Order: sequence, then C-alpha cells, then structure tokens
Amino acid sequence: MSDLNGTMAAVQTVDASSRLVPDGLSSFIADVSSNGFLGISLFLLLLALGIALHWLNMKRTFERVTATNNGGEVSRDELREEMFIRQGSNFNAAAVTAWMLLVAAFAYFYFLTPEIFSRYNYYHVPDLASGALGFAAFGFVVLILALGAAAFVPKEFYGYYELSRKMKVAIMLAGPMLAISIVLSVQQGTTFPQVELASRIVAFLALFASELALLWPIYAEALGGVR
Amino acid sequence: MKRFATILIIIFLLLPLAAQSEGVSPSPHKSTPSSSGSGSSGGDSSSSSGGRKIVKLDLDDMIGNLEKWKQDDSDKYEYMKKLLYIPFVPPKDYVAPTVLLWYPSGKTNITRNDKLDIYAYVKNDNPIEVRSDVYLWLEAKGPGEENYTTLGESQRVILANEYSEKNNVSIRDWSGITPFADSKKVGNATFRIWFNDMHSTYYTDTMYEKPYHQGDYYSVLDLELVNSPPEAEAESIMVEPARARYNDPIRYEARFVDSDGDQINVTLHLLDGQNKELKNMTQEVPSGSNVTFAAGEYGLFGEGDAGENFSYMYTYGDGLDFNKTETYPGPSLLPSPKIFVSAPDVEAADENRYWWQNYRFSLKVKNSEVSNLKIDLYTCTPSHPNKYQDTKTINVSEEVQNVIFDVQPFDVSDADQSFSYYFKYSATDQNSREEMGGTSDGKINPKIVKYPIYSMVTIANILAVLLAALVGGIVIEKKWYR
Repeated sequence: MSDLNGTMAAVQTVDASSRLVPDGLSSFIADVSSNGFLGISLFLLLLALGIALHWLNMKRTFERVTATNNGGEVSRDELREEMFIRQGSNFNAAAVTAWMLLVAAFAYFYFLTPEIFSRYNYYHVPDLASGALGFAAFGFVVLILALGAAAFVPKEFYGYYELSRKMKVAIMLAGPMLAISIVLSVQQGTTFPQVELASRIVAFLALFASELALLWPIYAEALGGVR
Repeated sequence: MKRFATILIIIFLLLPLAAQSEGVSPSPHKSTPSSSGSGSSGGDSSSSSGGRKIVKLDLDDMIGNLEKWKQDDSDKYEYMKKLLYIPFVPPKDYVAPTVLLWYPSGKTNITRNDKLDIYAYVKNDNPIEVRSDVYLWLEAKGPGEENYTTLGESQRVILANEYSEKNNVSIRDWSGITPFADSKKVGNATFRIWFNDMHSTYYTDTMYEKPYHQGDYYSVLDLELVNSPPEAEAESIMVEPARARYNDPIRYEARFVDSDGDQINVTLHLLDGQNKELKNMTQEVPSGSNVTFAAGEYGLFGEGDAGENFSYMYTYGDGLDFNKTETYPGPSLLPSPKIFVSAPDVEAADENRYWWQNYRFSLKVKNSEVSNLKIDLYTCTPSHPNKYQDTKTINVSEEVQNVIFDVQPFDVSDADQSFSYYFKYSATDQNSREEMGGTSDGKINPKIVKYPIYSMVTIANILAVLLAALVGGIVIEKKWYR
C-alpha cells in the first residue's frame, strides 16, 4: 500500500473538461483538498471557531440581560431555559442527520483512500476493505463515533438562535450536499489510484460548504453582535 | 691389547706342537709344501726347517681350530683356557681416571624433543706408559624407570695418547641426543657414565664417595623432563561442506600445535544427533600442520545416513598429555531425493492482475515413491509474508503430475506489490530441498476497489450509510429533542 501514493501520482489525471472554477482557484483548491493536514486543520478550526463564537454569543446575551435587569440577579440556567427555542421536529431530525453526515463525509474524504494519509486509512483494515460491504461498514463505524456529538451539538447550536427560513433551508440542504460529498469520495476510492480531481474538488467544497452552513447561525449572530 | 698379544703368541707356539703330537693339520688343504718355498695363496704356509715341518697358521685357521676344539673336546678346551689365562694386574701406582658428566647448557627442564649435548670429562693423571684405553658409555634413567639404560651407539673410547698434555684431560661428547623421545611420563631424568679402563668397570654415580657437582660437571646429571600439552586452533576446526550429500567429498580439517614440537595423535570422533560416538579414526601429525580426515577415505557415511545431522569432536595428545575439543555440529547430510519437481508457475485470471482475482499456481511433480505427498502453497508479499494458501495431496505415479492451485491469494493490502510464491512438499526433491518457488513477473494491480461507483454493491453501500444517518437523526430527534 505504501507504493500506492507513488503510483497514484504517476497516473493522476486532471479532468480538464470540468472547469467548475477558474484555473488558479481550481489549482489552489486542489492543493488544499490534497493537503490532509491543512484540510483537517481548517475543518477543526471552523468547528472550534463556531464553539468559541457560540460561547461568546451566550456570554454577551447574558451580560446584556444582566445589565437591563437593574441590578437584579439573573440565573444562567434560567436564562438558557428562557432563551431556548424549539426549531421543529423535521428541522431537528435533518440537522442531526446533517451533523452525522458531516463527520462521515469528513472521514470518507480524508481516510478512505491511501491518497492523503497513506498510513492511516480504511485499506489498512484489509479484511474489512476487501469485503463487499466495506464502504458501508466504514460509514457505520464513523456514524457510531459521531452519534454522541450529533445528538447534542444541534440542540446547543440551534436552540438559542433565531433561525431564518433561509438558514433552516441551508442547514437542511447540508444533508444532501454531504451525501454528494460522500458519493464523490467513494467514487475516488473506486477509481484509486486514478484521481478525478474535479470530483475531489466538488467533494471538498461540498464538505466545507456544509460545515459552514451548519455553523452559519452562530457566525451570523456573532457578526450581528459585533455590528 | 697386551693381554691379547700375549695370548696370540702362546697359541702360535703351542699349535705346531699340538699338530705334531696329534697328527692333526688345522688346515690340511693348505699344508702342501711348496718347492719354491713360497706360500700358497692365502695366509697359511708350511716350510721345512732342519727336517721339522713347520706349519704356519693364519688367524682364520686358528679361530677355526679353537671353535672345533671347543665343540669336540670342551673339557680340554676349558683346561687350556685356564692354562692360558693370565690375570692383568695394574701397575702399583695406577689410579683410575676421573670421569664426570659435563653438561654446559645448564638447562634443567627438558622436553622429549630437546637435543641434549652431554660430554664425558675424563682426567687421567697416570703416566702415558701406564694408561690404558678407556671405554665409556652414557646411560640414562627416564621418569619412573628403575634402572639405567645404556644409550645405543654411545660407546666412546679414549686411547692412552689422547689426553691433553697440559692437564691430562680428554673430552668425549654425546651431542644432539634425544634419549626420552618416546617417554610416556614426565619427571626426573638421570644420566651417568659407565666406563672401563681395562682394569675395572666404574659407574660415575657410585664410584665417588658422594655425588659430585661443580659448575657444569656432574657425577650424576639430574634433569627434569617436562611437557607442554598440545593445543587445538579452534578457528581451524571445520567440516566442509557443512551441508552435503552423503557421497560428497566431505572433509574434516583441524590444526593442532604443540609448543614442544611433539608429534600429535589426533583422533576424530564422529557423533550422531544424540552425540553418541559412531566412529573414530586417528592420525599422527607434526605440530602445526593441518590434519585432514576425508569421509570417503574412512567410509564415514553411507546412503542410510542421508538426511541425518552429525556432529564431531577431536581428542588429541602428544603421548603425555591428552585433551579434547568441544563438540562441533556438522555435517548435515541432505536427504536422498524422493521426488522430482520442476516448472513452478503462476498465472493471474487475466492480465489486469487485480488483487481480488484468482491466481493459478502450478508445479510439475514426478512422484514415484511417496504416497500421500503433501504440497503446500505459500505466497509472499510485503504485507503478507509467507501466507499459507492451500494444500494438495498427490499419490504415487510414474507420470509427471501437474499440481494446480487455483486460489484468491491476496487482499486489498497487497495491491501494487510484487509477490513471490513457493511450494513446500513433504519429501526431498532432486535438489535435496523441500521447497521450490518463483517470483511473479509484475506487480499486483494498484487498483484497490473491486466495484465501480455505479455497481449495485457500491450504491447499496452508500445508501446504507445515508439511510443509517437519516434513521439516526430521526431517532435522536424523537429521543432527545422532545
């Protein structure tokens, strides 16, 4: 398997007919998408920033409420309880699904083929990867690992913000986008060591666009707060 | 000499009388008078003198007569001997010569191979007209021996006129002697001289009141016979070839050194797998030279030994000290061939050589004597070295059998790797080996996924994951969001 990267580099082809983005930008995105450490850092940075901004948003709200309460004491828990907004069952189910798929799409993109992390990937479990249900098994394992986070993150991130209809649509569309990312990542796996760069870029963009969409309410609130 | 001359004169005087009185001619065929007065050819002659016939005898005739008399009339012969015996009485002022051993080297610890230079120092202060000849012998007594032994060829003679005029001393030497070369013991070694001065016999160890030793001069020379044991040069000990057929020219070689330069008796002990001695053979070699035991020469191995492992050791000694080496392994005799194998081969199901394909491994085997011959197939890739694949069993046949393994030997981790394979069989082949293999011509295809994206398998996999995520979302929403 260690030779696969070399072979991959030799046979790597760029689908020149798929000009989704200008050449310079395409090349940049291709570089970023092929750089595992950069991609993972960016992914985690967006998540960490979302968590930090959410904490700041909650802190700012608490301070404002405290300031307008004429010196009266305000309980954080009571305030959180008062602030909580139910977003609807369909939205919640779609959001949880989207967060689970976000983790799955991330794993499929970076850890399916030996292309990015030649020493840490699905094919290092040959009994699993050699079987007909290998892709599914890999996905199930990732979904199980993501289950805990997916159960609580949407509740925390979306329960304290006014979500516009557009935001909700964007969040609900994240699921299909992540499905596209997963399909394209699997396609990369089926053609490996040939790399279809267009598919890779689309999968990469779908993954990070979905992550941004899922975190957008927090970023938007933080931007509004700053203004 | 004087005694001998006197006896001869008397015999010469008596013989004619005896011949006359008994009418015996000691040498009748030579007694015919010669008219010319000259003797016949030979040493005897007869002549007439004043009417008396005078028979002259040569020495051979006289000896012949004496022997005859001794045989025919021993009593008279003995009586004649008594009549003729005149005891020799040394002159009144005669003094026995002083005889000492002179050992100038001073080396008291000697080995069996040391060449000794020992001399007889003889001082004879008698006037030359009184001196008699002195006969000397060197005697030695080795370690553990009770008695002295005269060294062969050790007689030396000093005539009366062979003494130095200055100090009346004469020297005789025994140079370069190795009297204990065959000694089987070490310890005290003693030398003495016994000599005869025509008057008496003397031994230097007893003729003096007490043992004499001054400087390099001894009445008795005591030395110490010592020995250094031989040593084996471990790095020289080998058996070549260490792995061979029973009838190959196998040779055991070793080198032993004895600092004394002794000959070394080297015995090779051939041991079986349990270190039990099977045979031994001995050679005597000079110190420092290689000793070689050729298996063929000694008939060490036969066909029945094929496939056995042997070991060996040496015992060696110089006659005094013995030692042995450690036990060394070897040789390992290759088994006799039972089967003949050839043409190991592998073919992929198609030219793409994907990891998920079947590969057809084959080997031609001629097995005419091993029933239920088992043949195992192993493949080797960097990811899976020596991976067992399958076993086939074949029976005895006079025909060459093509043994085929149609297997799927690889998994995804073998993609893009070269591979080799080998067949392992339960008998020995014509190369005295129990396996034969080969290497693939090319690599396994680097493609790692068997199914294309549009295959039902891939689609089902993706749908299963998406569905699982959706179901998970709905379940979680119902459980924790209401």
